[in-house]
Amino acid sequence: MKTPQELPEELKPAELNPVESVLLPGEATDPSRRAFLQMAGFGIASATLAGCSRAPSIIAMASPSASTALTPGVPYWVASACAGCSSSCGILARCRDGRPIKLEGNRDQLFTGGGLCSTGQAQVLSLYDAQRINGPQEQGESRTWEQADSAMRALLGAIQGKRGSVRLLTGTVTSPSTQLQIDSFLAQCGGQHIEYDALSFSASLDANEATHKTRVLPRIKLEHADVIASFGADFLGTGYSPVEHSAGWAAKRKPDSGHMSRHWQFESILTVTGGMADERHRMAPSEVLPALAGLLELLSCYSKGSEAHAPALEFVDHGAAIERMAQELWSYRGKSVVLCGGNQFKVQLLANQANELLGAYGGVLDLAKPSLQKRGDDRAAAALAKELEAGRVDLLLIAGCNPAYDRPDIAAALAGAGTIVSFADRVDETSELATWILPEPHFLESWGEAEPVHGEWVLSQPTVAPLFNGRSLRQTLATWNGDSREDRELSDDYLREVVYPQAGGGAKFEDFLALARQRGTIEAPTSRRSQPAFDAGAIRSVGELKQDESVRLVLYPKVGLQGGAHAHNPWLQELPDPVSHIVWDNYATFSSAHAEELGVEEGDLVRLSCADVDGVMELPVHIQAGQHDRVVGVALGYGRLGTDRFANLAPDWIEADAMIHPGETIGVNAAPWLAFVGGRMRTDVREVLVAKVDGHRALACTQDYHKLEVPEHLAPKGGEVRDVLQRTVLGGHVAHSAHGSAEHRAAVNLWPDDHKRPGHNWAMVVDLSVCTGCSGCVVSCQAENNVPVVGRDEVERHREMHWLRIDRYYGGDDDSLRVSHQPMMCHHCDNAPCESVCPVLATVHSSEGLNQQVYNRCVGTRYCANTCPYKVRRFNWFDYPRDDEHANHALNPDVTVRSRGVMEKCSMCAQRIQEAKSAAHREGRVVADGEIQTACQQSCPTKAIVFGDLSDPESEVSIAMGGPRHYRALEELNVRPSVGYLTEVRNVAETEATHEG
Amino acid sequence: MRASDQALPLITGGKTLADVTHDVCTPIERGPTSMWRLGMFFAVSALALGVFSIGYQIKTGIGTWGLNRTVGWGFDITNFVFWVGIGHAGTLISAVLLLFRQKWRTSINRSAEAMTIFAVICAAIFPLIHMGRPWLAYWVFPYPNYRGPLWVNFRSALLWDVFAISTYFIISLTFWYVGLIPDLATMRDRANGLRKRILGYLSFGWRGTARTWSRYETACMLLAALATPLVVSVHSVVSSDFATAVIPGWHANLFPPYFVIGAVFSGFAMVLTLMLIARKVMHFEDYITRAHLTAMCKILVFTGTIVGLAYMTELFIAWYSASNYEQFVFNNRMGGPFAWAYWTMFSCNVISPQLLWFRKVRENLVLLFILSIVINIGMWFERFVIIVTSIHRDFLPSSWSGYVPTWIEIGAMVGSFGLFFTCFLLFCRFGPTIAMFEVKSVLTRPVRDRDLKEGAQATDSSGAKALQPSASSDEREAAEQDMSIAGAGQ
Repeated sequence: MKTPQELPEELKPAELNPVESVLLPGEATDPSRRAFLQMAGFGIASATLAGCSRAPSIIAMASPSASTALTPGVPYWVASACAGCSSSCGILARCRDGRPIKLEGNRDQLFTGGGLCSTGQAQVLSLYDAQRINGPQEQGESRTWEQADSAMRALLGAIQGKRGSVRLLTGTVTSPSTQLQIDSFLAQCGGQHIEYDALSFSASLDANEATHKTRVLPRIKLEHADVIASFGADFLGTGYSPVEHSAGWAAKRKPDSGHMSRHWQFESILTVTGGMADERHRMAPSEVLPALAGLLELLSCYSKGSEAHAPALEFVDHGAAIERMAQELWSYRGKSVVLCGGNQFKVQLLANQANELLGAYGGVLDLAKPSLQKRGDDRAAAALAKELEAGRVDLLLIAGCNPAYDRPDIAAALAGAGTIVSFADRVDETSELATWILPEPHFLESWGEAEPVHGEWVLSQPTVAPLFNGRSLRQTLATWNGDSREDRELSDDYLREVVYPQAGGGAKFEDFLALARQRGTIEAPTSRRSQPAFDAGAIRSVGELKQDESVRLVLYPKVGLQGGAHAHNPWLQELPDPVSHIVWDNYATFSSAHAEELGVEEGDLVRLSCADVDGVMELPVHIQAGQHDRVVGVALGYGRLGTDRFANLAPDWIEADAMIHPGETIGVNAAPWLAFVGGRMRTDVREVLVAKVDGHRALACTQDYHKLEVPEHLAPKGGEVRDVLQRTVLGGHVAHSAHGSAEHRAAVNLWPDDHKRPGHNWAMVVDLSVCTGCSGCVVSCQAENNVPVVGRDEVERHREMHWLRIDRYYGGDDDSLRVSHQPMMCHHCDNAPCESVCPVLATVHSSEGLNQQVYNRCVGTRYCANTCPYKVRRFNWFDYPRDDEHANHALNPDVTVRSRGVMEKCSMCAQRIQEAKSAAHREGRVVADGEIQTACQQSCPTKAIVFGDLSDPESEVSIAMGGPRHYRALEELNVRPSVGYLTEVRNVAETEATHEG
Repeated sequence: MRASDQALPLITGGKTLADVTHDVCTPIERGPTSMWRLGMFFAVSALALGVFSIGYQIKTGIGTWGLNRTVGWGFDITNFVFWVGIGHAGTLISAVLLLFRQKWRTSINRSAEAMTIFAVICAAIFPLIHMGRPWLAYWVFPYPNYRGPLWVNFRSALLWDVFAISTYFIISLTFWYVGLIPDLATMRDRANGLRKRILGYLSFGWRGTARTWSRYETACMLLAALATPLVVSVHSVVSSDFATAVIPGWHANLFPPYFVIGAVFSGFAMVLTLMLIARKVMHFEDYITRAHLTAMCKILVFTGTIVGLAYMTELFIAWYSASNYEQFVFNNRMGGPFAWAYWTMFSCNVISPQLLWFRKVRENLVLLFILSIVINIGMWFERFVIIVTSIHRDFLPSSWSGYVPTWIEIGAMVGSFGLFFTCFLLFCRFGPTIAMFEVKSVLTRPVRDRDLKEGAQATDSSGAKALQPSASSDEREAAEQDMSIAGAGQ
């Protein structure tokens, strides 16, 4: 990177003026500011700007650092919208020198509450992906946008001339201004727009259309739900708005008030959501329909006051549980809700009916301000596949989706399309087949807006000068329509014409917009649709119920990778799956009984086949707790084209196992096994044959042992349970608020307390009741602290580098599984065992209670890691490759990149503490409580992590530590950790609590 | 033990003073034997493997070892403790037994001391290379620097190790070398030309006057007194590496005496191994006699029993502590994934030395040799068990993991044995492996008359008469011829 001295004369920092807090669009012509922005982007630009003609004209900084002048080396925040999935959460991008280095949830965003999931956190790395295409390509040859436009105009003219058909296939379009351009473009050329979602919610949308005459998903306001009945709905992990739903769910999971929601889960494979349930039962996919039918029968009996009678429950294993649940749902009607996964239309209809009976609409489920995050229509996509097969599509435009990979019917029919134009930003399964690739920019490079929920807009603005020569779908379509507006104008005009009248509140539009850009969000509180009425006529009979003993294949998305869109992101590939803790692979999951029956063990290869699917899948076995015995689970999102780029990601040494060989992919694509049944793309209907084949593939799992109970044969009589993670039940907690916290004797100290804390005393508390294990914090920590990716082989050797890990413990057996998560990071012990053993004083204690690791001084004896009771220290076994110069732009300049041979660990984001202290010092004030947010804390959707100053008795962390649920892990060692936990409480009657810590 | 063991002569074969000098010096003055070459070939091959392994590891990273986030020490520190332990017997023999005037030590103390030096060198390699950044190893020394208040951490047991091992090495080396001086002078007196010059320098112009001898013996006693506490202190400090950590299975008060006795146990086993080899290969049957072997066997029984007691005490204390973590560690050792290592250790160290109660076992040299090897293996496993089984499953079940060494790690261990034997063979080739002047002091038969009769001319500087080799035994003569034939092949 150039130093300022080497810069051209006009770019010298001396000429730069500090900019005012908000930059208004009218001022964009100020030359010195433009010069500044060019310079600010020069770091990126010098590396990648070769083919780029445009730079962002201006950006508005977000409020957290609004008073900071834009100075090289000084970070600033830009509010934007995450497009990692269609949830469109509001984000703040922390930028330095004209490039984003970290994404955080936007606390001003009403619907998300300010968290950010792992996928969102990882998007900053995707931005710097060197495999993105630089400008339009025709059959693999580079073209200019002018060439592309004229070719496309000619093509469109030709098609219109012969009255041909144009189809635009997209994922859910979250941007209304893009939708406007799509509409006007298709109106002009007479085409059709088809949306589908790789992780489809089509059945639910269709059911809502049937019962409420509106094809939207409801906003699920779990903060109003006292009883949640979920049938396979993974709303905390991979639902349509997991951050929002996690925050809402957590609001009712605070046992200190004495009241918690009751969360029931019936599911075939273990999900993040299921693990958190108060009562979880295994349910085969085929049982869901009779279970809901039975539930509905019970509810209607209750509503009529007649005797409860549910013949449908005969087809269900856990009929009694459903009866108990029905009673709870009914007694909390108005505050209870039934949620269903599975994309089965009949089931969704029944669920809607149950919710209507329970009075969920208008309360927990909001259709007046609905979610717009999923709009995909499976039937329309299937119809498109038929059209393609028949050769009736002359031009197929594909944007924001990858049907050749994740939509088997379209994938098979793509050859029938006349011309395919892809808007993908890379060569993927679909764009490989396209004549033209017209790459869209990354969302962190572009302007726009999204409306994830009705009446709430999230604005995105560029955080960096475009790294590659892309153009948004919106602008491309406008250009073809003869509309010469710039991308930004298209978005601004939509905001001016549609949003401003609803939400403007009298201010001038320019002021309104500037403020909105700064906040990143606009709300129109009064904008509501009418609460649609329930149309009972839509309900059809469930049909004949029958017993089904077949073994079904259940395809599921993983947290992070989701449907596979993020398979090129190494952070997400190396994120331990919150359920299995396995990385870099998909696998076939079996229950232990099922595996025993088949005679397979963990890592054995099995071949899955199915009567009506060509081909087989060969996958390693993973034995998964809490899985139904007649179900084989396989994760979607793997087997992506080009993932062999990671073949050489891991350190290269004599005994290293190659992750994969060139030409192979990470995992296997399971999408061809999706089944289009009953008008929806189903994940759980295929009957599967399992055959054991020779071979073994050890899975890279970050956790070897999954229980708090030590192995029986090594435990004293009666067993031994490690009480590092304390759990209890609500009844016990209310009766005796410290219930579940083991009674540790007060530590007796022979020595005077010589740990003086003259100033701050940093501490952290994690509420285990609301930690869902979603792992947003893990990726956030990785991004903030430059944690390296080490690859599959190294993880298999137990050398993952994450500073923050989530320990996951199973309690109970498969039928009553209770999953507990414990985020584990450096505990910054006051009597730190690691500090006394280091021969060279490379790890020392600060006067503010932090355990500091001095990389420069570390000689790497690993003595500290051995003696750490929490095993949170991470050693640099190799020089981890940092060869990707693009990816290196995502490094946080405030945090050292560690070399091999040194120890590292959680610093409690020392750089953030320092930054806040410096700011407070400059302004002559004390650091306010909550001013410093560690990366993990910021990211947490459920706000399970609290960080602050124990010296301030009023701080949130002091109050939490003084609470009855507070305990410290391994307190009996008298290491005096600065991290505490709040006992995990489940809303279970005391007698049912089987496994307490 | 039978009383007859006590009465065994220390030196057999009716050796004269001249015989002693001749027997010890001749092998040095002749060329190398084929046996020696064969041994050297294996030793240097092993060393070469070690040099490659360690070089590769230093170039590439500690990741080339099988360690992981949970098990931060494996073969590296196991080998370190093993080699330090080996060294202890040498110091015990040369210093403690000197102070207690145990005459039987004379035949074996030189080799045992050499073994100490080489074992400490082998040991010192491992803490050095186990560092993530070994090129910064000098940071563990509290040397004056201009980095402000940057200093070492005197609370760290690893730092104590640095002082303990370096002190131990310096004292042992000094003691050993001082012990060598009279014998080097003897060799000088038998040599010519350049060899004489070099040996002259190395023996510091030793003249063997009564005054020299008087001062020499005082110096030896002083050094012995200095070295004696090291027998206890060094391994106590090494044990502190573990005892001062919070990890169950490491954090035990018992460790210092337990480690010291274990060190003596393993050290004597190694001395026994080496002496049995040397006795055979160098034809020292008359110098390393049944008396010596019996004495070493007694020590092995004694220390082995104490080691067994220590194991039992550990188990008792774990049970008595009522700490679930302590109890788990020992349950896990005995029944967990590394149970095989525990029971290997237990049977090798506790059960096998008990066989030495039997005279038939003590007198069966083959069996004795195997037993000494078994004990060495057992003691290596003791360190492995303590280190790896304690940390691979400690407090948080989420972090439990296994440990499998890589070939690079095994290569480093093999290399350390290669280094040890290379050094030892070089010493056998170039140095007096038996302390001639000390052995002469314990000869049972005064042979002066016969010596004079055979017409010796020169005075041996070591105090005894320099004598012509006496062909007192046909057997030896034949052997000598064999050796010279082998040497002629050079």
